[in-house]
Amino acid sequence: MTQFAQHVVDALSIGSTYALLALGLSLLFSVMGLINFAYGDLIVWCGYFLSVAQAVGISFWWSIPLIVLFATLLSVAIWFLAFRPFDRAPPITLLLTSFGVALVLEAAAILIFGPNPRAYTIPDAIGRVWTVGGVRFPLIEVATIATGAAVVTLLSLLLRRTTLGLELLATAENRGVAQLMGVRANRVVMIAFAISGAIAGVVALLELPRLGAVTSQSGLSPTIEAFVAIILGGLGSISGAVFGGLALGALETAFAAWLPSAWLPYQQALVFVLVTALVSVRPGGLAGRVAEASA
Amino acid sequence: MLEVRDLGARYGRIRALENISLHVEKGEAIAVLGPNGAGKTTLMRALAGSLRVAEGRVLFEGADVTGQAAERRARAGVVLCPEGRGVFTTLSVERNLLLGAAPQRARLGRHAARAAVAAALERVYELFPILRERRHTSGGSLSGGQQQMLALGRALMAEPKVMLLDEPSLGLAPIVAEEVYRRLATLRDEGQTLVVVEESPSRALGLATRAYVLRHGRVLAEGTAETVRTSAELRTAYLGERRAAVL
Amino acid sequence: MRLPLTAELDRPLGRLGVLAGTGGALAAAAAAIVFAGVLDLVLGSSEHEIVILFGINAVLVVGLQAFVGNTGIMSFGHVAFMGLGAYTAGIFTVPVVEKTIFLAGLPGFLRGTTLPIVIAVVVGGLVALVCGLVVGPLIVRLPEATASIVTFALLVVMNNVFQNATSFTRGNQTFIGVPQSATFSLVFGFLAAAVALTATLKWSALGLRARAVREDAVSAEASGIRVSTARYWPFALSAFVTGIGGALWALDVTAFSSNSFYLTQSIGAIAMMILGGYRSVTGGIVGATVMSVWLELVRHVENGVTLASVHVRPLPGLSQLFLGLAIVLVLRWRPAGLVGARELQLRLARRPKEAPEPESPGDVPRAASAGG
Repeated sequence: MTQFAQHVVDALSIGSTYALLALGLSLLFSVMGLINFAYGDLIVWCGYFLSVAQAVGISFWWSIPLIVLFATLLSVAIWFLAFRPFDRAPPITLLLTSFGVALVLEAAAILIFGPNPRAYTIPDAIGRVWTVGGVRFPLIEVATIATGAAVVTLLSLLLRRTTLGLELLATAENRGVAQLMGVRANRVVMIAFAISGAIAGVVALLELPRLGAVTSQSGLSPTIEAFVAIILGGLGSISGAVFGGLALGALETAFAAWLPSAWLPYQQALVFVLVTALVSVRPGGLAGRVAEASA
Repeated sequence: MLEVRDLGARYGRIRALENISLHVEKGEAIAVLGPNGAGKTTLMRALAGSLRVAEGRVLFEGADVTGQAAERRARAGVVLCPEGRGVFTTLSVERNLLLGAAPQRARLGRHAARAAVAAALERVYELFPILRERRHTSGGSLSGGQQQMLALGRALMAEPKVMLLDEPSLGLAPIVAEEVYRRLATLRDEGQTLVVVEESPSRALGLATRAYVLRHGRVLAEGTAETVRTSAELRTAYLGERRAAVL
Repeated sequence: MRLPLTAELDRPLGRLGVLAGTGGALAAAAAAIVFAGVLDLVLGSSEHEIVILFGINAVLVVGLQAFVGNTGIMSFGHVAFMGLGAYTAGIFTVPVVEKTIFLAGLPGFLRGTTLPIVIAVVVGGLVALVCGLVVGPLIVRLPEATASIVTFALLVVMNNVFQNATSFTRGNQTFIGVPQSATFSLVFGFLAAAVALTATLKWSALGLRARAVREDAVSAEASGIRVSTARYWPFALSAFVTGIGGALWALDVTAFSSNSFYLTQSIGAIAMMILGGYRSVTGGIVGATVMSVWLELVRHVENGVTLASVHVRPLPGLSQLFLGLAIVLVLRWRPAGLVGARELQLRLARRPKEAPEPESPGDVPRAASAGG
């Protein structure tokens, strides 16, 4: 029983991370059709930022708000420089562009910081683990779950209760008509990038302690997981992204826990094969709805 | 108030509009008629600012607004109800309406606009009681006629100086279209400036004071509603020269 | 002297047209081969490796293009097919003696067999083809963007398999012992064959159906074309050709590991395809040529080069930076690539009556759609 409870905790933690990433990606896809392959690189650059911040003497705790701010600004800057010129391009072009942007971001990191992993120190307090009834509750996992819930709630409130959220949803559904209503679509997209960047910053804060050091390639794995989560949940659905992330986390934990040991090395492959099969049978994902321009 | 001079527009190599000159005065209700492909929707989009114009100018309240994007023009007071209504299916009726007030918020500032927007919402609900009834249901669950009312209401939320309507009766049962046009008549009587594009002339001519007939991207005829209704050009536009000559 | 060549968007009708189209692509390949041959002679044996790599890259790009160009679906997972081809060719060319030592886990029949080089390459392609046939149905029925994401999943899955099927692949450990046999004639011979195959597919009814789906899936379906089937054949061929490219690569580098087949390997092929123009075979060849030359120059700078009397210090990451910039800039300013969507075609003597000049894609009266 405790084993199962432990799995639940772990699954929620992983799932929350994926859900946040998928959420950030989903915002960008909704308003612009962009599947941002460079998303994980925001996390990479947050890692470098943390390392540099520590080198100049800023404590980890003070770095927290700075990192979120940095990620937000970086995301907006990337939009302005790289994606704004591609405003009305089809999703495939945007995906390819983001691929190019990712290459540039990674190469820039190598050029500036060198190809070796760059370490940073995490305060010991972060590594705390509480044990309740035989179940381990690492601080970082609890923080991840709590943060995930908080972000989703906040975003949900933003979308449902504010004018900004209204403009965002309208632009996501039909940009042309939203513009006819006087909505400044450009501003909405920029704000989407800002929110998406902030989310990336938050995820970075939750992930970096686990990694211990950052390289230019550190963003690849989160990005791919987020991609898979987003199609599992249904491309085009913001709430679907959250469910997709949680579901993917659950699947990965379940496979890791219950696969026969001979098959365990193939855990990652099997999860992805299953997801692919699911999506193939139900292209709209869990949300059941595919909001894409062409078939 | 709203005027185009020698307007030309293209889709790639295809000429959609050529040498269009047209004007709308404050308080007028204008009808723009013509068969499919005549360029009516293109003209509306050019007026609203969602289409880049190849030649000519668009003037609003004396100022040249030709290059202006749709968002700015909407905030200036030229609001288009697009073909097919463009209702946001994932948003509730009330949120759809609130969205329409974006120009108000831009003009007055968010805080000051709150009272104005609430008042505008009340007015719309009075004009279209069915919307009040369905205020929290999603836009997608409304019938065609209700969606048209929603689109009209949404445009009204902006307190537009000119309302452009692209085929408001499209896809609606005649009895429902009647209702829509009754509301439009009320708006007209209250002094709202309207430009209505319709493929089927009778209703639009019943509403309008003046009319233009388009064919192949050009203005074939213009005049008062009565004149146009009985004109030979109207028949020609829809039936072609040979058949029109027979009638 | 006027060459009987022309660069067109579409081919004339009829069987003569297919010949014109395929012949043209082969002419482009021939030009590339001649160019490579000249370069080889000029640069001498020290740079021979570059010429061979260029040929292999060209095969990989042509393979990728066969799918992306015909279906409009971007694939990031083709490296998986490259890996399959590489490992297969490796298994069948490493001498039995060495296999017994390094690949002791192989099933007996594989351990004891070696094949002639050319056969091994073809078998490499066939193994990749089988994988493509199996995986294809999952991918081709998905909407475009979702399909592209699934190709990422394919990449991860195959990488996972390569890492763990150690009796076949040695996993993270280096797979060694492959005889260096990527000769000029082998590589460029297969390039010619690959070009012939992909061009034939492109100009055939199968290719036409796939491109109809690419342009407008709904209309294509209404015309009786099954979307998934139309996309399937380009995917299969693309897997085959990419597998061959992988096999050739293995025979060139002679040592690799599962780490060789991940995203980094995809970058070059994708960048070359975009640069040259992803909609045409000629574009793929041109892209591979231009990019290979450029990358070599950059790599010299990256490793530190002495220009005049100034030593430029090593700059790792520079080539990747340029690749990324090249991709973004090309997509922004010339999304159809250097060559555009045009294909080199033979001007054959008796052409059937010309149809009225079609409007070029940019003029289609649709709401703004940049690229593609």
